[in-house]
Amino acid sequence: MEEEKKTNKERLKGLSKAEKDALFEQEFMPLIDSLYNFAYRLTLDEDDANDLVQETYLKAYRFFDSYEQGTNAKAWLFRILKNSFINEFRKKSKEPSKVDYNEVETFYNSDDVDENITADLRVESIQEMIGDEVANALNALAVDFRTIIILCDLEGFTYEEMSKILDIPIGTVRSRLHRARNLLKEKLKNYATSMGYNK
Amino acid sequence: MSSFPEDNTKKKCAEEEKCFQSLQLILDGEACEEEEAVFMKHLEHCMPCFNLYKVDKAVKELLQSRIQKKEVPTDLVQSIKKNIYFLYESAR
Repeated sequence: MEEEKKTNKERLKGLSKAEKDALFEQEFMPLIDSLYNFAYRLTLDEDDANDLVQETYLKAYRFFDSYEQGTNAKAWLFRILKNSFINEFRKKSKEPSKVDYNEVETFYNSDDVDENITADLRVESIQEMIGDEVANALNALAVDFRTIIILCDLEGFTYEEMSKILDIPIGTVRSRLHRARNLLKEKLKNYATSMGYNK
Repeated sequence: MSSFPEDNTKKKCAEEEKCFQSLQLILDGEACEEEEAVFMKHLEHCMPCFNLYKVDKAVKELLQSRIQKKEVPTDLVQSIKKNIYFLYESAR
């Protein structure tokens, strides 16, 4: 038996367009800041981020009837945005690494993910870094790794929420996060070394 | 936070795999109290894990505190509302 979930359909029934729009805005507009930042971190381009957020809101509006009450609105919008990004923006993305999702998954589910590079990275050198340096290290990661770090560390989603946003099992959330952090630390370490922080 | 490990000559943790997992869960607020307590106790006598914990925590804090937020373009909200209205009108 399918679990019974109440969609917005009942709630919106009989409401005028203005009332419906007001509900939509009240529910989703406060999240535009997080969405825009997520879009920017994915596309690394202000215009593309703008388009992606517009498209996300249009899709959300179109599916507002089927939105389930009590669903985490932020996770719902992030999922729509992530799917739009994959479907459309990746095709024309300026990013050189066109890594296929499955390929990536196989790669970081392999056994060699646990090499520990932290021994060479010092807390003091991490703490000396400025925003641009951190952003550059993050932006240099392949988009799947960048995404999971943004969702977890910048947006504070739980593993369960990330699993829904990304359509992957929680185990994969964990392994991808682990791999992403190791790659990020490697970038930070290289950066610290080149700047002479990591003496 | 646990106190500094007494034995600082240890180079590798014998339960590395398990510790990596606990560490990640704790940093992300996904570990249960018991797991967290066990790991914190472990840090008191394991230098490699103690270092790893400090570094991973610092990296997470770095991301949270230093990545600048982009300002949402001022006309974006208006533009979205306009598009939604257009969508509705054109669908009628």
